[in-house]
Amino acid sequence: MKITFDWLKDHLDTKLNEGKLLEQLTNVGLEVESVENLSAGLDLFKVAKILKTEKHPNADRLKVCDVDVGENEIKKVVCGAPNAREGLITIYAPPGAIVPKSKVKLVVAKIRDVTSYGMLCSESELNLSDESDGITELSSKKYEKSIGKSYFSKSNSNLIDLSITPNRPDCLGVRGIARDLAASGFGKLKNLKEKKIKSNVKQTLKVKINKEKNQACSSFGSCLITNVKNTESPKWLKDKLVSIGQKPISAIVDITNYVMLDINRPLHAYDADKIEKGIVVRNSKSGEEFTALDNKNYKLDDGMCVISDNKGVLGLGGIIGGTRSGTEFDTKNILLESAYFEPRSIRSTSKKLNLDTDAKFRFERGIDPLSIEDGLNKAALLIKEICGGEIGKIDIQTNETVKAKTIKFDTNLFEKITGFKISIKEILKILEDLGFKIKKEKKTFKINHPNLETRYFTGNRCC
Amino acid sequence: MSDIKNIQNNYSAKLNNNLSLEEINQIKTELFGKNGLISSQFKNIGSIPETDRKKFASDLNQIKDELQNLITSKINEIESKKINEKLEKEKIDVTLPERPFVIGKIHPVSQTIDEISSIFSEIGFSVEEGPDIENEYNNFTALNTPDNHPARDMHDTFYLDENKEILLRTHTSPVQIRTMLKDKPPFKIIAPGRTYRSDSDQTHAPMFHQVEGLHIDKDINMGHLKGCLNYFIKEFFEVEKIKMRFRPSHFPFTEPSAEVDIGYEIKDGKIVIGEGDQWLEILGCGMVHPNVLKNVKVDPSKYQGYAFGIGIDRLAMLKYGINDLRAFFDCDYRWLNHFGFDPLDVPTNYRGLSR
Repeated sequence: MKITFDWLKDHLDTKLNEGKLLEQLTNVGLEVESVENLSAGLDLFKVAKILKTEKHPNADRLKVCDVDVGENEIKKVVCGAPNAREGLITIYAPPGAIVPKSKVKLVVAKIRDVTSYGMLCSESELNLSDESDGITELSSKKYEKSIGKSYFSKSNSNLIDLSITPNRPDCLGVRGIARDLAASGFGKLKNLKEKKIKSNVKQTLKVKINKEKNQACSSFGSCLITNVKNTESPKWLKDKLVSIGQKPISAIVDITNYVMLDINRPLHAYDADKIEKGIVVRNSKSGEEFTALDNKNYKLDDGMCVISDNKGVLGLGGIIGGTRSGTEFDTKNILLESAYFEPRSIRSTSKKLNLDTDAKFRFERGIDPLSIEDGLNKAALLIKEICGGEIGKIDIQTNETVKAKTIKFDTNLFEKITGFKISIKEILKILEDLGFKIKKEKKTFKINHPNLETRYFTGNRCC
Repeated sequence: MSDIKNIQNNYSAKLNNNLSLEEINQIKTELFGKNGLISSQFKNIGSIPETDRKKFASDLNQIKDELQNLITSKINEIESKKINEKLEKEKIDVTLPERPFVIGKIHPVSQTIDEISSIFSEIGFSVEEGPDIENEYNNFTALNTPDNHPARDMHDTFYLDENKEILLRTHTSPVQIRTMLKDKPPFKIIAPGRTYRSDSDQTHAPMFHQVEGLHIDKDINMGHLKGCLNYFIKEFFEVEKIKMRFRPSHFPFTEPSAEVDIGYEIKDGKIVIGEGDQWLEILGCGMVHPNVLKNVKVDPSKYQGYAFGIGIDRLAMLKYGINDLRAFFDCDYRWLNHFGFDPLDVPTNYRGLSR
């Protein structure tokens, strides 16, 4: 699980510094694997303007460019990009800079007898996108005045990689980590007043969970959003994903990823126009096939939980979606999925197909079944904010109602097992900070959690 | 009668000549071989009239004994003569160099296992063993790691059959199960041994060593665990003080679980254990999960206790300054000669663990 201190601060009020944070994460059992400064050295990459291009005297495809790198300085750079042209504003990397993709350190070099001072970069070389056909083209309107300035905004937040043990699925989201830290005395968990969807538009797309033996999906929430305009994500969202090493794709995909990482609620977005006559959640039949979003074709066995429509399999529930119903930049209507899948089924299916995804990793450890609505609310409202459109009413199909588990907790057990005593008051405070609801009985306490994955305590002795 | 007398006279005379060993052996065959002169006389005993038979047999036996004795004494005579001649001629060259001889060395891992066993036996642990080839139940299921549990991913297992029922144990914890099934509580054991995981790099070998510890009794709590490990680490590294921290972690078979780090620092390129502000993970431990106790028919409302698992190779590397795990298993004689131990250097607590 990758996080940054900045992202944690969305959920956590604290005055302590990052060094203390790393210590505390380890102390609460969220082992810090590594700390990396992703933006180190990125300030060297500058917005620059090509003033003049000439053909390279000794090479047909190379050009020698005079580049304005700000502060009245002009550098000669040899460039092979076909789109290098006079007047283009692009990104310049001086000698000494390290190219993010290849990790190569640039030096002043002679390229076929012409000395090149640095490099003009493609988006791919900067890990900004897969675009590698030419150098980055920046809009002259936006960047004309920034020539000579750093392209990347400065971020002081390091990328913190945590190793989360299998008993803590609740910490596979930034908020869960913040909650744990707050309960340990590291700041205060922010009370986020999440908005709720207000809509009376009934969902027109029908969703059905087949009642059959070993049905792994007990609950399937969805929300139809019409007339959206999918675009690139806004800067705050891109920055967020980039800060933890993920690549932004499009607003809709980025939002579902963001919600998953933020509150540990995996979602899936379908292009609603590509779904034929409603969704059926059912067990697969041997021999069924579909092409997943990783562009691989998967042949299914009997009894794998699939999301399907009239035409066949759309995706493997809780593991991976299919290309047929994937969202694109021209997608107009989307169906957001937020469901609960049985960890056992997720694990055996992904093992058989040798598939590993972020969603699978979370579902096989156990996702809070009661977070279905929260996830839909958060994602749908973000989509409306960024891509426009109209949100329909949330539709939740269930096979069985999930109730928060209540357990008896004997405070004496704590001392019996650990060999030291803390006051009941202290115990109760920690449990409350962790979000437990407590009811006092004669000698024991009844505790339950309104919206934590139930396994969070069944897997453990007491809490 | 005269026949055998003649044989005796003839051969006694012959034998008294100065004969060689081969010639005497030749005579021996002529007399006592399968169809030898004396042997064939014995076959005739039956055909001799009853009145003479007794005397003939007695004479024949006497002659046989006399001839045999004579042959034996002649052979001895020749042999002792030969030896005497040899002794006369031969001399020992005491100036020759001795034959080369090599004392083997004890592998650092074996030495470390002995050290660990010695320390724990001082504080009342007995040593148990289990097989390297385990079944899936003892290795996982009984240890509260049912099939499809994500914790199984933490162990890259070598399975030995299609159904994944037989495997090379991924940790020494199945010895806990075997011991508790076999006996009645209380238990206080350690179990050193080989473990296997499908993993190989500078710090992971597909075969490595662990020592398991288990202490189950009526009132054993985490305090006892901490005290026990603290004592062990101090004894093992032969230091007075040790910086140690328990970090919450997760193992399916213990709850609560912790990983233990010890403090260290690098001084003049050498690692110093027990001080400094760097942390090094050395073991995993916790209070045995009630489900594990239930699986071995121990009542968790009456008994409780701790378990730990220590990587032996890691400890040996730290104590003896070995920086590549793979060297342990290279079978390089020069390496073993350098890092190995004298077989007479048996670690004990009273004599000191290491020299």
